[in-house]
Amino acid sequence: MGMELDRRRLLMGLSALMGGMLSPVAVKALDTATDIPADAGFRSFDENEVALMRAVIDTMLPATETPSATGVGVDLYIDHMLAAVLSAEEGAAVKRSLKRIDAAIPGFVDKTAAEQQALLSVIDGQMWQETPEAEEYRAFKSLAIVGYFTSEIGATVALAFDPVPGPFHNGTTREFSRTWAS
Amino acid sequence: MSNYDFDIIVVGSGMSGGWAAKEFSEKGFKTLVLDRGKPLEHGDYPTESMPPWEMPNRGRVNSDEVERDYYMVKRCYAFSEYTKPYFINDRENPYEFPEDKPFEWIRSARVGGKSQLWHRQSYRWGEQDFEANARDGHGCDWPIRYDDVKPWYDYVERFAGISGGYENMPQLPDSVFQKPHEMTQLEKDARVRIEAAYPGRRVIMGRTAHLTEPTEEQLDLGRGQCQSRNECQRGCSWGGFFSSLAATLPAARRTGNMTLKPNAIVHSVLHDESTGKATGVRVIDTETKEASIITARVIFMCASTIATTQVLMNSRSAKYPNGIGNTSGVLGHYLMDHVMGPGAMARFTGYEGFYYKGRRPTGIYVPRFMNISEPTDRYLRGFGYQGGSWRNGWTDEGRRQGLGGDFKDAFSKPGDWWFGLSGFGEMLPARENHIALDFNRLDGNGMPIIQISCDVGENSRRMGKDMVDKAVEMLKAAGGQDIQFSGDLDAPGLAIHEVGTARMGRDPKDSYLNGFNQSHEVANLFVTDGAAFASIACQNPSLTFMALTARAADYAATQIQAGVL
Ligand SMILES: Cc1cc2nc3c(=O)[nH]c(=O)nc-3n(C[C@H](O)[C@H](O)[C@H](O)COP(=O)(O)OP(=O)(O)OC[C@H]3O[C@@H](n4cnc5c(N)ncnc54)[C@H](O)[C@@H]3O)c2cc1C
Repeated sequence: MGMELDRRRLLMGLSALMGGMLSPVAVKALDTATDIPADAGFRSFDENEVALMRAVIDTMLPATETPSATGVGVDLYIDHMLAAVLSAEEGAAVKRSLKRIDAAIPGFVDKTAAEQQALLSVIDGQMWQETPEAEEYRAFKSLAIVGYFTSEIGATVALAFDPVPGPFHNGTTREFSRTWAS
Repeated sequence: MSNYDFDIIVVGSGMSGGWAAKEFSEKGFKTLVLDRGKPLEHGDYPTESMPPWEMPNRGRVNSDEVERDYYMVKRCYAFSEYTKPYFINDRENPYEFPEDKPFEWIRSARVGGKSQLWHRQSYRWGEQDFEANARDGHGCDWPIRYDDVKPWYDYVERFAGISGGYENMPQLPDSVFQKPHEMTQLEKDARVRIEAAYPGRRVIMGRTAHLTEPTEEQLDLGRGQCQSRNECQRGCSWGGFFSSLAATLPAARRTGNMTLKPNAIVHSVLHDESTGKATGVRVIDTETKEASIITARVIFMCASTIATTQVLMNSRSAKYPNGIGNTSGVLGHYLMDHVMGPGAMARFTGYEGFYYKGRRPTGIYVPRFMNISEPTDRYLRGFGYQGGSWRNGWTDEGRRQGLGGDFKDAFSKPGDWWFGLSGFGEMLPARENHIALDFNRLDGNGMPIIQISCDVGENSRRMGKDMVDKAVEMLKAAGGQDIQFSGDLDAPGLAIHEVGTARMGRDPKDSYLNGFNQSHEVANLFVTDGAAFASIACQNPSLTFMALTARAADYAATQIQAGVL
């Protein structure tokens, strides 16, 4: 509940920053609860795994002017993906990625945000080769990012969501300063 | 006419069948349209307008389900959680190919066929396309020429609505256009630079079946202007793009002359040896598996290239042991698809201040220039490019390094500009590319299993190399950097432009249809989908399916009225 309140305040603040006009969709965002019901409970991760996964995705995508990954339900999204969408092998790869981070940075969950960012950045910097570990890490990171920008807040606040644009036309980044959601 | 259940039976309600239904219904004929697909009503598109966060899986289909049921369909870029209801279940509708010659056949599952799923790119063929076989001797000569089809292009374009710009190019004749979509600033500049560097090559706005200036007739049918959502394949209840669901079927329905039967798979066409005519079709209800026979004066096959030929080959009798009207043995042969896969893209700087609003439902087009203004002896025929420019959004997420607050916020800012070109080449007709039926093995509807054998051939492979080289040199000329390219050819099928297998021709010994899409042997049997094609050109084929269908319907109607059919 507390989280939802923050979101509302944040949306209001942002819309003020952005010129005061809330798009119809952003208005709708104010009325809906989290994107995936918060009380759904986790189906694919145990308590320790949830804590680690949240810490990792919030290090990748921390709160800025927009909420953190966990703040828009990316944790629940990833859980849902493992439970209902990914194959067993794809799901296992997600878990392996988390385990590798756990092994490389013992006690990750209890470190400060700054430490988490510094330590995970080192790993991230090593994940651009074509090794299975690197591919699995990138797939996991992609999952977090996709979860973020397909969430209602991600799509409508971090990005610009335009369900019915009308005829296509050119413009400038002064008129359209945010990335279109799709 | 009272001896028949219907005047006309149209098999298939997609791009071609919709036109047959409209033309015959409007001419006053009692018309039955049979489609194997499940029902789909225009406007009843459950995922239309659904934002990603309201989709159970945010647009993704369960991986196990994909591998089990959509192992071929998954190769189609348009397949997602949003569009899944419109694609066929591969497992329930099996077909086969040799291991070293994959054919990636993409099929629809609902009434409306692939007209619901297409990308709406619409280009006329030019003179050279109907003459190609006669000139180089591959394939049989088309019995028709551009001038035969021209009035029918005019006719279908006025009704369908094609947006594009007048260019006056002989190899790509202009359509009857509604105004073109706008080019981005980068495209406008690239056009100037490319056309200056390579005289004879043109960069034009994509021609696409979207309403930009809807006519009275289109508005009357409940269609409206395209709103640049570019989510067409989920269904567009505004009818902003042409589909049989939005346009031809409603036009047929309002005459009161059309009966549309979904879940009805045509098993075979029946033949009466004493009259030499087709008498009707054998239909199987896909839900109950019950068979029935329906009769008609004239039969139009519009079930899509391979499916139409499957029905014809399955229509066996003492007179026609190899399929109705197939004394020549040509039925099933000369399967073609476009040469696809090769292309390139480049990053452009200097446009950081430019952006756009709207998801333009088309891109730019580079009409064929090889063996038009630039001859080559490395391969026959040629290719065109579809392409366009865009600013990276957030969907390059898997390629971005880093993490943290700045990393996250960077997604909110429009990314780099890219410009890409992707080739569509003309594959030569070759007899060995064919389909056959295994009559000993039937699918769940009692249809014999289709075996497809198709290889794009050496000419296509040589052309494929050039498709990459020319794309790269044009992107360089346009000022692009970081050019990325691929020369790999896709398996045939994946261009989803399959044609041939019941080709038109002048000689009944070597072709299945005459110049009016009419069986040489069985006068009241017509094939007006892509199966009728004697060559494939390099343009997207659907506009030509529409024109040939309307033309054949007009011809058949005249023949009926004259008492010949
Ligand atoms: C993603 C995608 C993008 C495309 N982009 C373009 C493009 O930009 N430009 C272009 O020109 N083309 C494009 N195409 C191809 C275009 O969709 C097809 O060329 C066109 O729809 C074929 O028309 P048709 O009438 O032959 O077949 P379809 O439109 O497929 O209709 C055939 C109908 O027949 C029914 N049927 C099949 N077998 C039987 C049977 N035995 N009995 C009864 N009914 C049967 C099917 O259910 C179907 O409804 C695209 C296709 C796809 C999937």
